[in-house]
Amino acid sequence: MSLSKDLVAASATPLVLSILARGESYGYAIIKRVRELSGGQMQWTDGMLYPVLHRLERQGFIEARWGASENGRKRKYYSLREKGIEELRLQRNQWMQVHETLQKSWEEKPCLT
Amino acid sequence: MFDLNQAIAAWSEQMRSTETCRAGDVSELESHLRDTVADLSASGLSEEEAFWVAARRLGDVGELAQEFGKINPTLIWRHRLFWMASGYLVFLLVNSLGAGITSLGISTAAVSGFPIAWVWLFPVVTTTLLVAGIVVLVRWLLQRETFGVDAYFLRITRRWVGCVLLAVAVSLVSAGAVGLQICSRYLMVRMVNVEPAAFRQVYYQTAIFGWAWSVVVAPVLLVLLVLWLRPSKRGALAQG
Repeated sequence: MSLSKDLVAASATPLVLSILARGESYGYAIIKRVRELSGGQMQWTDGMLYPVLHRLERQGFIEARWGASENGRKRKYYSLREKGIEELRLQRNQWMQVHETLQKSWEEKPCLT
Repeated sequence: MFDLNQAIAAWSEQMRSTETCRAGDVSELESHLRDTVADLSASGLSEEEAFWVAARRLGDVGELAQEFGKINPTLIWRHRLFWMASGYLVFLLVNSLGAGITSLGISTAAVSGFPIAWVWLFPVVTTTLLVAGIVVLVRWLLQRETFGVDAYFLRITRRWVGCVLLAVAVSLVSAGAVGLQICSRYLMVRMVNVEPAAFRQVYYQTAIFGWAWSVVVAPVLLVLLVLWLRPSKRGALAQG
């Protein structure tokens, strides 16, 4: 079962931030990592990652630099900034809160009377 | 025979011709495309198969352009502003060229004894010819599908040097047209041996037609153009 479009879009920011929290990376590697982490359940249209990355860069959460790949091709690398670490912490708390709330609501017995 | 570099270049060109992607965005997507092709080829796909799968995974060019548009809104406005400004410049050019040719024609006609009652024909004929010329030119440019007029102007205006050169070229032609107009007016006054009442009649006729064009016809055309380009419609088109 693959995730709904809205959920994929909503979780993109924390997911990208947490992948970058492990160190500098680039678009293709981020996509691959997402595929690995979700066991193939999260299907991103590859190109859609880049507008997300650019928006995060504009918001000051990550920074980009042009570098070279192993075979000398031009490649853009992204890394997390101080502000991004703070944002990741914030988003993590929010997602945990949603998760906990849902968890509790599902544990309650349905009231039928 | 499939040429990977050529296929990637064609894909990039398609991406570049959208109004929302910067050059850096396109080279980043291109790098992604190459990484995917390399990985897929390593897992046994032919270069051609790998390219098509990679392009498909990267997403539809139109949808990508729309997504980039959300983060690069100034690019769209720069593009629109460019078209508005160039439209105004074309209008200025046509206006001053038309008036220049008209005055030159009137001076020649007056010298050669052209009936004054028919002088109004000059602005009408020159304006019609110029507008028809522009319509033909635009049609011709739009018919060249592989090298659309839009992509052509985008390519020029992507670099500042291109913008400056284009502005200088248009200004020079404009200045030339205005010069032609001034010279011919001067000639008309100096050379034409007509009585003051007849001269006034000629002058009023050309002035009224010139006024009708620049105050009524041209603004109506510009308003139609702006309506056609209005953001809400563009948004609807992009979604549909």
